[in-house]
Amino acid sequence: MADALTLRFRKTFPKGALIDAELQVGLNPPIVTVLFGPSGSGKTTILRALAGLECSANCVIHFGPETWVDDKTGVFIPPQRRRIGFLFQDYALFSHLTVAGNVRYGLIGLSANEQRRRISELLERFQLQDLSSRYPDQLSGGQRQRVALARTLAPQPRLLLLDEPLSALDGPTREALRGELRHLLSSLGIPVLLVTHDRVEALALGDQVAIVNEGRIVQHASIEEVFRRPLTPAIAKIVAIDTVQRVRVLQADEEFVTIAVGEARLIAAARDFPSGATEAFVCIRAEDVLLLKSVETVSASARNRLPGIVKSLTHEGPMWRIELDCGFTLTALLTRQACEELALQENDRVLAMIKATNVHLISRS
Amino acid sequence: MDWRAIELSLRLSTLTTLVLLILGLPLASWLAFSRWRWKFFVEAVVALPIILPPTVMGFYVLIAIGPHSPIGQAYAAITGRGLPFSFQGLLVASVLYSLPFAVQPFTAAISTVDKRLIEASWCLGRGWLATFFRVTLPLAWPGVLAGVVLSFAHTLGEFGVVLMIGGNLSGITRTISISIFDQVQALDYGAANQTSLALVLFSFLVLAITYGLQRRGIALWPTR
Repeated sequence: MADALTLRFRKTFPKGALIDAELQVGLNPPIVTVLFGPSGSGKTTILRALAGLECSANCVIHFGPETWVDDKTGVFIPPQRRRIGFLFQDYALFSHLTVAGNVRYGLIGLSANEQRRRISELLERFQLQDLSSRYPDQLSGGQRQRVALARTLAPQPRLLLLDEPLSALDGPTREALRGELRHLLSSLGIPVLLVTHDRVEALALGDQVAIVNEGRIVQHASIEEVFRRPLTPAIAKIVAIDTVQRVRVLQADEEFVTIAVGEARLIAAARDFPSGATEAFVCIRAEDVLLLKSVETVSASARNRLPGIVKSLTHEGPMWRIELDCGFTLTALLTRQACEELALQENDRVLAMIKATNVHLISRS
Repeated sequence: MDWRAIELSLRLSTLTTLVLLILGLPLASWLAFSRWRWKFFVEAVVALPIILPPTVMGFYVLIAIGPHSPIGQAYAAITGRGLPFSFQGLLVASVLYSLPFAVQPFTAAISTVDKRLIEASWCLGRGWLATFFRVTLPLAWPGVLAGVVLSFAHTLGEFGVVLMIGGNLSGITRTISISIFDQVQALDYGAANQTSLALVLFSFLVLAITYGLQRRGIALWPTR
């Protein structure tokens, strides 16, 4: 495909790990693709292969009309000639060069004047003017990240590869910079591939996500699609869907599927659930579960109302995670305010409500 | 004091060190980064002069550069002179003899440079050579300096190899240590003491300056 970045990369590592990845990312319009998966799943290796830092006897990479790697013809374009930007996890700043020296490093073939103009432009854009003569070890984590970004973008790369861009930062800085990074990435106008194992980061930064598990790309679609409708229970676990249960299919028509989880009955939107399937996994995200005190009588649009007992309440940032016993374990996520209004305590009886469209089914075939 | 011997020794040490910089840095980079499975053979060969008796080393170098060897014959054909018992021959032997004292510190220093910095340099469009001079060397320089000083000092003090290859020709191959040996043989202890003391002081001075510089340098350019 002419207007896409395509990769096929297969490699066995001495310790037995195997990478067997195929990926295709459209270049036009430029989007942010997140490679998401648990640690050690091979995300970084895939990113390094795209940069030309990792090679294999079984690898093909095309960037639009260009061939970067082709094992058949022996083509291998070295990193220097791919015109990409690679942001390393701990930024890999040159400790013997100043901030300005780091930013200048990749400016090759420009006149001294042009260099100076470009450097001051970048220093200004990343608010580094006052730090230009500092050395990297005199900078804070957030400042280092800005220097690394400025250095990476200085030679005007055609593709940006980011390896865990926020993981080297402490918690509060990370949260503050997440929004800034999103803004930056969408303003660049070049395709971005970003590796992360942080779910919040993936959700905040990506347009598309490719789930990497044990060296394979197991699902690649929009963030919304993958995080709501994982293809397999394993992916559901990776994207941290709170409730994943094995269920029996009782009845299915064009619109709805009725399932049994232990004693409880649930209705799910049918979507493209295969009609013959008798067994399935159900996935319910905690934030899609609403809770009511069961004494109240309500009319609501939610198709599913499950009586349950509160088993535990755990504090999770500004939210409360509530484990319910509805005949199976169901997890709900409530704001502190909602939790206080309901005056929830352990062993309270509640009614859990879930929209049929938020009940995702994976058929067992 | 035998000033000619001192001058000769300094000249030999300086040239040996220069040659070792030029040959040793690429060799050290290769040793630091190569993943070749038989690399350890090369490492062993490089380290050999540390444990070989100088006479053994000198003997084989003498054979290798002698008039019957291809190297000796090629050299004679080009220059019209023989390598043994000449300054050039001495230089060849000194380079081999001091090789580990340069290459090992070089390799250690280059290995400590974070591989990701080198990769970052590649991704920013810099080739191997530019990366070496702009990233690897500036970050590895304290170790490179240590290698330079060690090989200089080691050459300055060599005796056995010089005797085997160079003999004892004033102004051509009579180095300080040979000169001291001569003086002792002639029971001229006063002169021997003078030359020895000069050598001790000089060596101490070089090392003190180097360590001082290195300490200041580390404060100036934190390399971590």
